[in-house]
Amino acid sequence: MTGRAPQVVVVGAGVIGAAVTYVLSSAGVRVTLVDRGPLGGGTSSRCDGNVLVIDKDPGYQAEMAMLSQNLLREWAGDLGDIEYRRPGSYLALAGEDEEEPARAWVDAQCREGLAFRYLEYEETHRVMPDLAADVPGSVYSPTDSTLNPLAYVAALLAKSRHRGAQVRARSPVAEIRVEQGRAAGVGLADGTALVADAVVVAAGVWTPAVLAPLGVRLPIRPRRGHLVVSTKGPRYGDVKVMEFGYLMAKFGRERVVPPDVERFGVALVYEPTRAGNFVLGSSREFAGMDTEPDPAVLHAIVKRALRFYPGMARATVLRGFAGLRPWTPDHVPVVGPVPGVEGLYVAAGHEGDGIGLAAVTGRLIGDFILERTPPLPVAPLAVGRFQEETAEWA
Amino acid sequence: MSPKRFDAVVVGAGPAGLAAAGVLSRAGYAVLVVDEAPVPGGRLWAQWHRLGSTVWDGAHEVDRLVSALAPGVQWRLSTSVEAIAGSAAEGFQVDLARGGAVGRAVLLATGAAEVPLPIPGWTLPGVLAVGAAQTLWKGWHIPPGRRGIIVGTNPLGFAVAQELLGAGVESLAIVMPPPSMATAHLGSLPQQWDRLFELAAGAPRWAQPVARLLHGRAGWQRMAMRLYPPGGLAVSGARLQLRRQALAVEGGDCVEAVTLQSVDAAGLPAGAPWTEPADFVLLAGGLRPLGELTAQAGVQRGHYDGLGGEVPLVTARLATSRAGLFAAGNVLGVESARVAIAQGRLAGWGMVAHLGGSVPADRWREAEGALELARRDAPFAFQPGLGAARLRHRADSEREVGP
Amino acid sequence: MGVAGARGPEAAAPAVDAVICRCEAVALGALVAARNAWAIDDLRQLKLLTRAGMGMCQGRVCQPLLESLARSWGWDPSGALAARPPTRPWAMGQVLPESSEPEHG
Ligand SMILES: Cc1cc2nc3c(=O)[nH]c(=O)nc-3n(C[C@H](O)[C@H](O)[C@H](O)COP(=O)(O)OP(=O)(O)OC[C@H]3O[C@@H](n4cnc5c(N)ncnc54)[C@H](O)[C@@H]3O)c2cc1C
Ligand SMILES: Cc1cc2nc3c(=O)[nH]c(=O)nc-3n(C[C@H](O)[C@H](O)[C@H](O)COP(=O)(O)OP(=O)(O)OC[C@H]3O[C@@H](n4cnc5c(N)ncnc54)[C@H](O)[C@@H]3O)c2cc1C
Ligand code: FES
Repeated sequence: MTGRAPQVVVVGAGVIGAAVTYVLSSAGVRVTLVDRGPLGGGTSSRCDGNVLVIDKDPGYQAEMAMLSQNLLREWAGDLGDIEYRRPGSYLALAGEDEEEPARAWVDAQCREGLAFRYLEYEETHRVMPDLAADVPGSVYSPTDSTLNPLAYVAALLAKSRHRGAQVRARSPVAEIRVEQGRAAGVGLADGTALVADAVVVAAGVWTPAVLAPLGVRLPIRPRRGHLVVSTKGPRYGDVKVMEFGYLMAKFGRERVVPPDVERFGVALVYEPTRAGNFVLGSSREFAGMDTEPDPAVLHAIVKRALRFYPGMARATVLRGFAGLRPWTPDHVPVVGPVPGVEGLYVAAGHEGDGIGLAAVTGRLIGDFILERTPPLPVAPLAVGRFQEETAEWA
Repeated sequence: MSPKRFDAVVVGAGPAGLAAAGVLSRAGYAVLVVDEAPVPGGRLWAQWHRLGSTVWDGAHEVDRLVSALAPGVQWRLSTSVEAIAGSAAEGFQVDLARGGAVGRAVLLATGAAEVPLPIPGWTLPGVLAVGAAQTLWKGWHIPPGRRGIIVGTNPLGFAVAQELLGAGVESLAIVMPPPSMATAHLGSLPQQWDRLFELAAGAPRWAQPVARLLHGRAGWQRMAMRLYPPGGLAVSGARLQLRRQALAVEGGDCVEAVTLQSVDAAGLPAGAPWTEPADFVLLAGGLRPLGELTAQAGVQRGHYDGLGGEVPLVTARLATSRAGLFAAGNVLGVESARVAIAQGRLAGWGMVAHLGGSVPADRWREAEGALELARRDAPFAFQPGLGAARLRHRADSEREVGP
Repeated sequence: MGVAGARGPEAAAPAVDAVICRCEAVALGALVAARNAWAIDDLRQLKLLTRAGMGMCQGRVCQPLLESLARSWGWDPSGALAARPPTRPWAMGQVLPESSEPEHG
């Protein structure tokens, strides 16, 4: 080891740890990022790349997502080719019963100053001619963007390295060292100690395991999601489309769908990729840490897609995969200091939005460590907010 | 759609799968045979060799194996198996394109695939893998062209060269592949020569001129390569040019020529490259066991160069580490079709025993004896070090999955 | 011939324009460039960033080449290209109830 200790150790080289490292190293902080596996090998390479506001609850969550979108736009110029595009996104309605809630959703977002629109039948089918004829309308959000998540992680890491960050793959963190109530660094599984003034745990669904030895309990659970990738061939429109019911599944609201679609929490996501395939999503279930794709879930996803795109019956599935979303009980990530251990921070629990929220998360952790004023209130993100649930989960 | 239930599902209707289906169906079990090809037979269709005074005719073997099936065997042809889930206790779900099936036991007999040789220009029309050329000729009587170059000294390439020279191909040269990071598994040119000499040592007709070069003496390889005739040796009508490597395939819309370069006795390039006209190029990069399903099904595996790559560990009766899942044929290592048939029979009896049937002792003896015999009589080894790899595979298997 | 001569420039240049993954048209040079640009040290990452091995044949053709490349760079390729179901492409229409076929006899 060199004589000078690195100042900050970040645990976990997913999109969140990479964004934190990027922000800190760009501010001149000496950072060491460690991951137990290959870089980006966790959930951040088993996901889609949507950067969305359209599905966020109006108010705090939408504001946070919007901030992240704006930051990402600034970063994109620095990061090189990460397949970043801003095509906007659409929520298609499955039936007339969704019209009321959809219009109410648009109104609420507009009151918060977002440029959402409700598209009537004609406009919906003009923009998305491949949609089933019985789709009554859609919701449009013009600022939503998309990128290639693994290229995003790789670019964040390449830039961070360039600015002096150390990046260590295949180096599992065995313990977080605390001395006199302060984070003092981490111990790696091979016995190496990394000394630091601050430690940031950004270990996705593994965050509770990393923190447990310190007696810190977080109710982050793996909510598995599957995606289906088509072969190259005809596509069903150039725009990204989700179903309005996606929101219902996300927040556990009532929805009328076939049993397997219900059981696996499937809601349509259709996304054309630059490579010429398209991606279909997705499912939401609690199924432990298993990421082996389940054919029954892949079938349910395709079935749901055919409800909206009947012409897709002639398309071909190339592969499927599954990842583990770091879920929290209130669907808000955990970003901030750990009470009682000075210099220890958590940045995790982004569920289905880690790609989109990575930029704002990196910014917030930077603000905590550099003692700058954060761009939005941080109380809703606090580590300590789960006291009651923690007791239940423990 | 509730999937149909079977005692046994056989995945792959090559010689191994068909032989196993024969044993199982004649023992009275309900068998489903699935293959993604439109007809059963697998690689057998492309095979025709002289074996001493007799002839090995793959098409005839297919007839024999199919007519030995008991009536009532169910078929799903032109159907790919996508995944295998579940367990012996609840039944294995065999996921098929168009519906599924459930089997109390499953045989993985999906065979082997060819390994490409990525030289610049290999994606041009007119460049084929040797096995594909074999299929085109044997299956459809389409010769690949008139003037060709085979790149790579894999034994299958020699066998195919011999077949093609009787099939309207006028001239055929066999040259070395250029070293590439993506074919590091082949080793350096001297290593490839050593392997060729090793294979030639106990080999059939094609290899005799090579074997003669060595005068039956070990350690002669380097000397032999120094003396190697620049124009190559005639091997069954083809020119075997071990001191030349193919740098690239040239052509606009299809193969027109190949850029060649001489190499010295250490395998290093010597002199300026030149081009030679050709209207087809065959790549002989070798064979590897097809591992997708064995990997996906999560059976324990090991890597053995002499067997062609990653293969499942199995008991002597070809049971994998997952109870009820069996493997036979080239998925266990690239060997001859007769070996695949013998393995299929053995696995068939293994599955009968797994399903609760009784297997008379002489059946086991017969099946094990046939396997031994097929190995002894193999026309050639596909990889050097086959025997040693087989022993290691056996020992590892015994330790990890049982005798 | 037969005597070691001067090496031509072609001999020294590795075959960077040789296509490694046919389905996705990824050449050796692109793999080397990606590895250097992103400091990649793992085959799965190389695959996801270049799409090599992600094409129609699901790596059936190029997998041994990618694994060999990985080994030549000192990476352990085992599991990196692990087969994921489905192992073969399937028609989306098959999930519709009408398409359930009777078994072949
Ligand atoms: C199917 C699916 C689709 C999705 N689509 C989207 C989308 O379109 N848009 C979006 O914004 N989000 C999406 N997400 C969510 C997004 O993928 C996640 O929120 C995000 O990837 C989480 O990133 P992370 O860095 O927190 O976790 P990870 O990427 O999992 O990174 C955590 C890292 O910590 C490492 N680690 C664990 N333990 C240790 C230890 N002891 N020592 C060292 N390192 C350790 C792990 O190896 C891992 O690399 C999707 C998720 C899924 C599953
Ligand atoms: C190119 C090539 C040339 C060969 N030439 C010779 C030769 O000349 N002489 C010789 O003795 N041996 C030769 N062999 C070795 C030969 O493979 C064996 O002799 C024998 O055919 C192996 O039998 P098998 O049953 O294991 O596999 P195969 O005969 O290969 O049969 C496997 C079957 O499984 C099917 N299959 C694979 N995956 C799936 C799936 N997911 N779903 C459904 N079906 C599937 C295939 O369609 C195929 O029909 C050659 C092998 C190859 C690859
Ligand atoms: S050749 Fe690479 S995926 Fe097919």
